[in-house]
Amino acid sequence: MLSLLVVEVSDLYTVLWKETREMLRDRKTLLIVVLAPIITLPFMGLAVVYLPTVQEVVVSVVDEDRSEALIGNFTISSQFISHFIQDYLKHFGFTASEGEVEVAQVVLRIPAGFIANLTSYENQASVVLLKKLGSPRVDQAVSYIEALLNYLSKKVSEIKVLTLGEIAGVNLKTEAVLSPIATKTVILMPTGAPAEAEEGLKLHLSRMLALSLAFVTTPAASYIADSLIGEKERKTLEKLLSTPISRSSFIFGKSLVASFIGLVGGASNVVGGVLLFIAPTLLYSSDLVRYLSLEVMLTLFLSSYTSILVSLSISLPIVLRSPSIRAASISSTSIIGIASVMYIASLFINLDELRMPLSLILAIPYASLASAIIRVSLGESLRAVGYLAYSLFLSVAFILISTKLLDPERMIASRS
Amino acid sequence: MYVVDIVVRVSNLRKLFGRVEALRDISFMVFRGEIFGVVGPNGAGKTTLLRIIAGLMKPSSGEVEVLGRRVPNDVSEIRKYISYLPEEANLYSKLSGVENLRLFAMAYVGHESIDEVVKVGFSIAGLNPRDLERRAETYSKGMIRRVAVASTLMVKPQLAILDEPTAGLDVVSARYVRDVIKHYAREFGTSVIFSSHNMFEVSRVCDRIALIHSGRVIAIDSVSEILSKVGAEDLEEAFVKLTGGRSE
Repeated sequence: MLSLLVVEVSDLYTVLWKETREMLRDRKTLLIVVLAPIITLPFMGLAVVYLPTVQEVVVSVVDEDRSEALIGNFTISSQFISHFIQDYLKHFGFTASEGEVEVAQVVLRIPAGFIANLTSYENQASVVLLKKLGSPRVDQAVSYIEALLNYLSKKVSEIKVLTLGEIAGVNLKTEAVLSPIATKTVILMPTGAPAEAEEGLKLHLSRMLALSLAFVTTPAASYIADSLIGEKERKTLEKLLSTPISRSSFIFGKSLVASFIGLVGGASNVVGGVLLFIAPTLLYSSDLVRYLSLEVMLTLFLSSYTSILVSLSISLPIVLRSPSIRAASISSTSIIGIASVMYIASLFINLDELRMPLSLILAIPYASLASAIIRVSLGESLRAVGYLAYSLFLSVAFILISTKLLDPERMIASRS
Repeated sequence: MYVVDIVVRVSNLRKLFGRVEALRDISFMVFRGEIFGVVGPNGAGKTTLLRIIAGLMKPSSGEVEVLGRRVPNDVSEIRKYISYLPEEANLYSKLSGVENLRLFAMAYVGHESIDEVVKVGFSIAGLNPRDLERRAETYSKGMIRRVAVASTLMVKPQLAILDEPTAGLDVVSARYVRDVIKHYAREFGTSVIFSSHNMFEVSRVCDRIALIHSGRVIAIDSVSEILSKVGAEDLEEAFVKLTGGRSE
């Protein structure tokens, strides 16, 4: 028994010796594994937080009214409203100007009679808002204008209510008339603990971190497939399989080295994750850095590592049993595709909150790993640990099964 | 004593790939210390036969014994004593020549003997030590083959299985490889199964040969015996006479 173990360890060492050397000399793959998240994640942070603010959107305010009127003790004019809106839009990075502008993507038209209607007690004033489809930034400009007009509308309503109260000799409180029902929303963490308003943004960023798993999984999964298929293509497999090296050592050796890639990928994903928070801070006076948490970053590292291990373990039996090299490549690409779908889906939904039978999706380890990052950012560390442990267990099980599936005849006879 | 001297015994071996019969009723023996040639044209079934003996493929029927142990049942035990060089086998391109030798030494012998085995590999490969320190991706085809042959023979296997070891090599390299195989097989007492489609080559290297055609053995004996039985001047002529000139 002991001698068998010694042989296994010696075989494993031989495979590790070879694989480590080959991997460390395959600088291109290593570089891609390291650089993919480090480059992609800060860009993603910039794309989401910074770039939308620099995209040019031209807004024109066309004042066809050009009048003013008294309401209560205040004088309000269409020009004041026009400038008020323009100033705010400029403050948020939009190009706003008065009058007809041909290139304008958003046009706010204040029609004649607007102020008269606004200050009257019988008529409703209206404006026309035109927007050209094509960019979320345009939608943002429109929502800003609507918010400003709502603000003005509320202020005018308050003045009207107070004026009517004075006329009627009633001491009115504007909120009692305009908003008789007050809503107070208290944000809680899933654990029940009170949450800050910014927790929403933190959750949004953790979803992006979950998406980042796709960046490390893709090159690593390709490496793993190549480590097996490549031996066949480069005509080194047959001789290696004919040596006394045991099949389990062959599989474990390749798995261990691939999991080293997982460690490197996990570490670089954490660096990329930190940069995701830092990049917008440096370029756009954002304070996202304060949402960085050691717990989330540790989970990101473990999830990245496990995601690579999962890809390896699922690829192994498929690649080993594929009838041709092309079939093995397609299978491996499909696995990457499934992983990407899960990570992209986690941007929009909590995969672990779906109803049956959709909740079975959580059995896919990629869904569990994405959920782990989201859960830990919501303070549910124990649940995150459960998801990580499940994926890790599944990976090990698949690797063990693969050692039984290695069929040299099938591998050698597989077509190119 | 007689039984021990039989290194390979193949009886009524048959191999099917789906409906295609790659090997039909093959029987022969290889004795200790001999260089046994498996000769035939491309597609005759030589590689399939060698792969079965090396334990990489399973026979559809029939029996194969290597060193008294059954293939495929005892294949993990058999692999300790045999060394196989596949046709067009390549080296690990990211490893140096020495590292390639070291890898296969590690696969066969204990830690304490690795350096000694690699030294033997050095002498078999016959390359400049500086060349052996370079990565194999810089090697010519001839250099790759020298190191591959060295990695197969240096572990002093009881049986070396060499599939077309000189295929695609220039005259000088092919001659070197042939000489090395002959010399070291004798020196180490290694039995060799040597496949080739080059009739001239096998008549120079092998003690006995099996002529294979369309998955069947059509003649087994020493080259001189086959020539005299068939009444031919060379193996090429003997092969044409035995097959009636059909390539398949």
